[in-house]
Amino acid sequence: MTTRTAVALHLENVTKVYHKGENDVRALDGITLDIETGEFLAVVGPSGSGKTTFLNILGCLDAPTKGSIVYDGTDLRGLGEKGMSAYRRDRISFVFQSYNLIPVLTVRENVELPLLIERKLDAKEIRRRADEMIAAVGLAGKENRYPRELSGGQEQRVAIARALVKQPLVILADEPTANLDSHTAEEIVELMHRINAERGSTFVFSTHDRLVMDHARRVVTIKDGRVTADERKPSAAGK
Amino acid sequence: MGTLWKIALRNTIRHGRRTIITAVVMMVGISIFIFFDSMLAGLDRMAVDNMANYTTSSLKIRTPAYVQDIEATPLDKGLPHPEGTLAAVAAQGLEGAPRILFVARVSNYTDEIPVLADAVDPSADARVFKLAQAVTKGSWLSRAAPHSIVLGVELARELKVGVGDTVLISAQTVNDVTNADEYTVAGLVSAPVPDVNRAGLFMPLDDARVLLDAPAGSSGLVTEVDVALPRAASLPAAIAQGNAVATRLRAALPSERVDPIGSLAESYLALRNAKASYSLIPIIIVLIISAVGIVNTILMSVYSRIREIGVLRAYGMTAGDIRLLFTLEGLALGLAGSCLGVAFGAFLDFLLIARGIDMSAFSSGSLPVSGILRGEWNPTTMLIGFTFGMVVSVLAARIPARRAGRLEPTQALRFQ
Repeated sequence: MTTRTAVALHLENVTKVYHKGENDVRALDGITLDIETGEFLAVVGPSGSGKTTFLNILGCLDAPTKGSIVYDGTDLRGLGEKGMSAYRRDRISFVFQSYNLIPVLTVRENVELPLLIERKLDAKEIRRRADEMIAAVGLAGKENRYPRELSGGQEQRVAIARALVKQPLVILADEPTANLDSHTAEEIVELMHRINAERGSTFVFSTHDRLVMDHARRVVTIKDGRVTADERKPSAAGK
Repeated sequence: MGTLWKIALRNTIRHGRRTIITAVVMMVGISIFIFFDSMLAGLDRMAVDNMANYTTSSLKIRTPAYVQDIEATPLDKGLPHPEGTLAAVAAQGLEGAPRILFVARVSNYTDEIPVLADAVDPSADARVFKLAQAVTKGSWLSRAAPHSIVLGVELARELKVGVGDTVLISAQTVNDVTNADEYTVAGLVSAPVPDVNRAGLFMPLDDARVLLDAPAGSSGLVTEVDVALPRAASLPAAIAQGNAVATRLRAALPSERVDPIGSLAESYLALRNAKASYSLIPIIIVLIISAVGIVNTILMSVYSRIREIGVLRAYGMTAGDIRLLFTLEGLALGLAGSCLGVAFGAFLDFLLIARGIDMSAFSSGSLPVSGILRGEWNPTTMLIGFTFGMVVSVLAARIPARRAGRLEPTQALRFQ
């Protein structure tokens, strides 16, 4: 088990090249970046700029063609498929644009899922943590509902509870408010912001949403696979 | 594993229509397999029972020389001490009946038909065979009514004779000269064995000895002693019982040949086994269709849940976990189909055992399979059907499960 350092993630010259027919597409082009523990960071940029590839690589869903990622002091180069799965299982969580809850599982079972995959805690502790997270996202009393019985905003709250329950090193959120109306989107961003402040969880978003950008304490702009701006705010909106 | 089972089972229930269709196809395959097996076992039992009751008996004692030359029905190779043979049978607590098998020609004075006639001791024969109960017109043979015969119904029809009519029977005597005499038809027998009805001719032992110019009395000519055994619970049990009694009788009668029902019915069982393998073809086809159904159902499940696969992979499930998840869905489908198949097969079995099928309309050729066919319970077949269903399901699920396992998480999450 590695110990946490102030720098949660360090990317060094990360490059990702996709081969499409005879052409090479350079989705990421030599990104070097530090992400500190407890950051609330928005990754912005036009469509096709490389935001999703950046998140996929941060999330160990994809491996860089070149460069290194050091997670909490551990270099992930050469981990292989099983090693990447294990790292995702233990240290990383995701919040998706379209929530992606498992439709046949209840709210509680969806939230318990990462802990069940992790297989480190007993059933009682898993349930306690899940119920605590469900309450933290404001869904106490809805533990036994199925996703189809929830609104979009409630589904995204469940997705956030699912992401937080295993207390990951970093939570990666790909356009988390894109499918929500502005009122619900604001609620969700405030919820994430509150959790970030209370628990010190590290959030990294990709977004087009001005609201999310306004709440972020750091905004990294990616264009053509490169970091073109890295803006840190002394205090973000809503704080 | 518990979570995977939970997701697999709930998805199987969630896509109820797909699950039901696949399970019903499996149910048809497995229940047909169980029903056919029961029917074939019943058919075997019926045929062997009919042989034991109407033609061969459960066990036959002859001389080895007689059996070696059996095609010629040699009257000079009969049992040397028939009373001793019968005593050995009685010593085992069993009923025995002496018989002479001989070639005869039966004539209505216009036409003549050659038959294999059976000379029987009327009362002893009635304790070993069920021919006396199969007499549909007139009566069975009796010592009190000499010069009487019983004919198979179809033979009588062919000869255009009925009860009370006289026929002329001729045969080669033991001295190899032809002898003939007139006999009255006392009864007509209609047995569930086509051969008996077509060519059955039964006459009292004493009359036959006179006709054949053979020695009379208790140590007179007897070519075989037929033995009745209690009805066993199943065909294999009947064969085992016959073999055990045969072993004991061989010890008591070392110079005679003892053939139990397993040997007497050997040619029938071999013929039936050859036909049974053909009857398995439709069952295999139905099970292949259900395997295709399972592949299709699980593939549909994979394609409708690609993003879900992506999420599970993102949360740390390995490709192996995903393969296992869809294999478990196949297992759940197989479990549903196999349980339904065994339950419905058992129901069909119950109907076949309780009600039976009247085989008279299907009776053809020389197979002794006329009468009411009743199925036989066979738990082993049910277990085979169930196991086969499960194995087919798991093997069929492997194809889509492997495809699901190969999906890259990034591709799966992008899938719209």
